[in-house]
Amino acid sequence: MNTGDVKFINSAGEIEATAGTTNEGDVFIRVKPLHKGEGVRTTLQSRVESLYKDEISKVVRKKLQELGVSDIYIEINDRGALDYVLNARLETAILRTSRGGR
Amino acid sequence: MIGRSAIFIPANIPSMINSAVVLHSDSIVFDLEDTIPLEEKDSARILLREAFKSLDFIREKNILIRVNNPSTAYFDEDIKEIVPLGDYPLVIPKVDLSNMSIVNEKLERIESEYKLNYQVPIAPLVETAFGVEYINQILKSSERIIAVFWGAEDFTADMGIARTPEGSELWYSRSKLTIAAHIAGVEVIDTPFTDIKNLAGLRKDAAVAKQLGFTGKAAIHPSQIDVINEVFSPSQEEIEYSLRVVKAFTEGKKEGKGVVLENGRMIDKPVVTRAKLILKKARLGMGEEE
Repeated sequence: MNTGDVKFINSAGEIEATAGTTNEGDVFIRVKPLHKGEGVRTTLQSRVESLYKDEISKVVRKKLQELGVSDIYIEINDRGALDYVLNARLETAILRTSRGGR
Repeated sequence: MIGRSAIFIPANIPSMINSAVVLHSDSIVFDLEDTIPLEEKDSARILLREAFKSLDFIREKNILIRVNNPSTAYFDEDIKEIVPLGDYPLVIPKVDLSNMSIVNEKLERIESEYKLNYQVPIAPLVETAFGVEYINQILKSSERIIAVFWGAEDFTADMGIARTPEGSELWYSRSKLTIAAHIAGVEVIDTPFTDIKNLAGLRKDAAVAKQLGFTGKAAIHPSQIDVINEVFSPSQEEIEYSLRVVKAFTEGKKEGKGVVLENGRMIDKPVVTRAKLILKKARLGMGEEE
């Protein structure tokens, strides 16, 4: 996310937002905007990380591109989510960030 | 067509959306309203939109979406996400005459904005005293209406009365709804039976609903589907009797008779009409098209 587009509101000077759950078939996402030029930083926790790390990264990159987000920190706790769930939760978290976080 | 059974599935739980593929209810209603906490309305809407774009089975199943109360901003956001996905019927909660005109206007605006070549069908969910009282006018208020759902929990709360296991407090409202739906020529789906472990109670309640004229019943748990489908399907006995009725009447007609006897019972036109309806339901229940 381009930080020029959002207002920093919390004590750490960052807007943080989450979406999803750690229930089976879901994914829990936490996002924080980064300063312009910092790029995309991701941490992934998944039971299927060794098998699907590349696939998950691909889905995330595509969604970020679609949303026009280029500087963001994303924490992903995957519980076997299908691609559409990952897409939806990531979009929701980013939407919530742009609305002031929650 | 909604059919005999329509199961409600919360639209914010991925595992439940994914497992909908194996459910054999005649219809699935993805819910954005009562089963979704206010703080998760946004995520449910987005999840459902992404599911529709991605899961093939959704195109093969009979899908409806229950949106939020038309008097709220959630409704506006729901239809903005959902309507462009296809002509999936929307179940509209808490209908009354004033919000039906809001629904029509808002749907027309979205369809025009997105230049959609379809008109989204709707199924009002009647769950207030006002809704029951004005059901005939409600059913005439939009050409989009394909069915009406009955919500007894909210209705009894609105009336300030208790729900009882035998449901005698609902006889008038249920009958009024089925008669109105019959006149309007739309399906009418009975309220869910909320005691999910009590399948015998469900069977009894569904049988009463069928007797009153409901064409199907809502389900809130997969275990309820078989019972509802069974109750709302014609029995073997009914099918065999109906076949005999139609045969006897057809043969009588050839001989110039308007009334015939079948096993000592008088068969006239209304009996034949009912028999033909049973045979039609039996064919549809076996997966045949009309």
